[in-house]
Amino acid sequence: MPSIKLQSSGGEIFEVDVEIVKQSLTIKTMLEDLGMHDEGDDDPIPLPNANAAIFKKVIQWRTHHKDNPPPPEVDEDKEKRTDDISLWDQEFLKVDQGTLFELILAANYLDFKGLLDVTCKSVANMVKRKTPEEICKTFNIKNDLPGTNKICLWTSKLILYF
Amino acid sequence: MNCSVTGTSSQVLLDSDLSMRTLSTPSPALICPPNLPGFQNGRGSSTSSSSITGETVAMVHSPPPTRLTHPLIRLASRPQKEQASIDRLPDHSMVQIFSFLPTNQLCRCARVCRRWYNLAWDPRLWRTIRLTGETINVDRALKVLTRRLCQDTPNVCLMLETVTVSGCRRLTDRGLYTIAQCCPELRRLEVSGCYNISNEAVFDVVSLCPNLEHLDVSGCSKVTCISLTREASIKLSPLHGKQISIRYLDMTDCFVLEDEGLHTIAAHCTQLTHLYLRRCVRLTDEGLRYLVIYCASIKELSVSDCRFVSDFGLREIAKLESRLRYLSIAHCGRVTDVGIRYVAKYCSKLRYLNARGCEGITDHGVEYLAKNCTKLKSLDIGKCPLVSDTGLECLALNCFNLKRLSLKSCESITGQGLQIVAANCFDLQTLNVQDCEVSVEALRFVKRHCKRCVIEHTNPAFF
Repeated sequence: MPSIKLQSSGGEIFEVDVEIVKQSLTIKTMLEDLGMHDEGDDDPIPLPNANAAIFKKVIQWRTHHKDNPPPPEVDEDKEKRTDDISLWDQEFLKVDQGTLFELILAANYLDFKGLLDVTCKSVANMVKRKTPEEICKTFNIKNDLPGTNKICLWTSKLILYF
Repeated sequence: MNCSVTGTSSQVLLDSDLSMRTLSTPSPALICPPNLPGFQNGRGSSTSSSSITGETVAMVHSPPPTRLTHPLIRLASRPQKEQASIDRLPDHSMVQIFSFLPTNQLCRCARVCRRWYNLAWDPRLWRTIRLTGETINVDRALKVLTRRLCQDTPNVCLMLETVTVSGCRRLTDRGLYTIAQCCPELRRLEVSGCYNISNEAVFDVVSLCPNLEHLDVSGCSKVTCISLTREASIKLSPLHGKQISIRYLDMTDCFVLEDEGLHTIAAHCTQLTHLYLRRCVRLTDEGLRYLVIYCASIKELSVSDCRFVSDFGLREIAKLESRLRYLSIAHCGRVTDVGIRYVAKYCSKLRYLNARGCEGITDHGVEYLAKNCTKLKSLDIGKCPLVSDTGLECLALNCFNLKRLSLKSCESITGQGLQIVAANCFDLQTLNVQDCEVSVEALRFVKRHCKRCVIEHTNPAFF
């Protein structure tokens, strides 16, 4: 099976099955731009925005999902679900927050919609059903909104209803 | 986050994605005039460095620099707490994450920090408002939400297309007026179970939201009609025909609806394709006659539990001819084979028929149905005690596409009839034979021939 070489930002080279990375528009475009259709061509494709550790995880995910079709178009009228992450994906995404966000960035950069979908869903699940204070705590975010007595009217009113 | 103040020792918090800012709605001004003397550092719960300034937040364009003169306002760059790793995500990724959150959670997110405040109000996230809960003050919630969304486009929310507040029982006409007045682009409205809603509010929505396609007022028992308000009627030219462009209308459990009301609805909503009138018990065949005169495009129709509907009504429904795909006449006890024959003869493309509880149906009716509506995918003839194996045989030999079949409480069915069905309808996915006298062998036969079939039964010996 044909494989191609990809080089992460740190210079590490990964040899991967073409099938696995074919869905990535980014890589596909690079292949075309660099004119690397011939089999004999051995130069690795540089991916300056992907570091080795995250890249490895992405490849791992893509390998597991290589037979899956790309995710279908979203039906705007249907409520978006977050409870349909497969068990394998759930295990795969049991990582620290930093890694999770890196995965989102990588999925975005490499244009792997399925991975982007499932990682965003994961983060959404971390946010769901939490109060603002709890969210701040979970993500170590500093609440820089003005104090309650000068608070934005909209949001303070809104919180009363939910 | 954005910060409007600059100065020699200013701490300027540049938004990491200023270019993205143009896409998101500027938040309402948290304006406190910068020279307000009484405004002091540290008041309020937050002691973060950025709360000390009374600046406006999040503008689309970088604001002109202003000099703060109040002595107490410090702009020193205090050492920041370690930046949260989630801040590394660009705005469009955050918006994507937020797109999975329900309306109420989005509002909570807006309170987390300034960046999240701006992102939470991104117009792309506000095509739909979905609220649930019996106790929430949904009128106020809608008022506040729509006001926020109208921020940049005075008095109208151009982005809002769907409002779903089903089950929010405290919804009153006021809440609906709010939506009607500021959502001209509304396409879907679901207020199922909001029983305080009355006709006037519905008329307002329908008149002010010309793009409305989908309206679910099931359980709104005060609603007896769908029509335009008087003002709207006057405005629309005769050429326009006073049309309401609704295609999907669910008036299940609007039990005060009568034939005249249905007449008016039909005359206005001529483009209806999906109409559900379950348990609108006052309707009679006359209402159906009006309906079919005006609404020739109906694909799905339910008049289940409308007990006055009889064969005459079915004769009217049959005029929908090959457009009709889905029909439910469950528990319309006056229906007999005569009515079924009309429907079968003219509506040859019928895919789904629910005739549960139509006790007048016999094998003749089923036979006629089977021979004419060969595309039937789903049939419910439960509680039709006169249907026997003979009818089943006809069904089996003509309707090969049958996927769902319910024969619940059909006393005359035996295992033999079942086996013939199983032997011919390979696509069968669900079979309901509860309270039927069928043997375990017959059920096993079905399982063997229809591998994907799920059988609902009351036979304890079969598993």
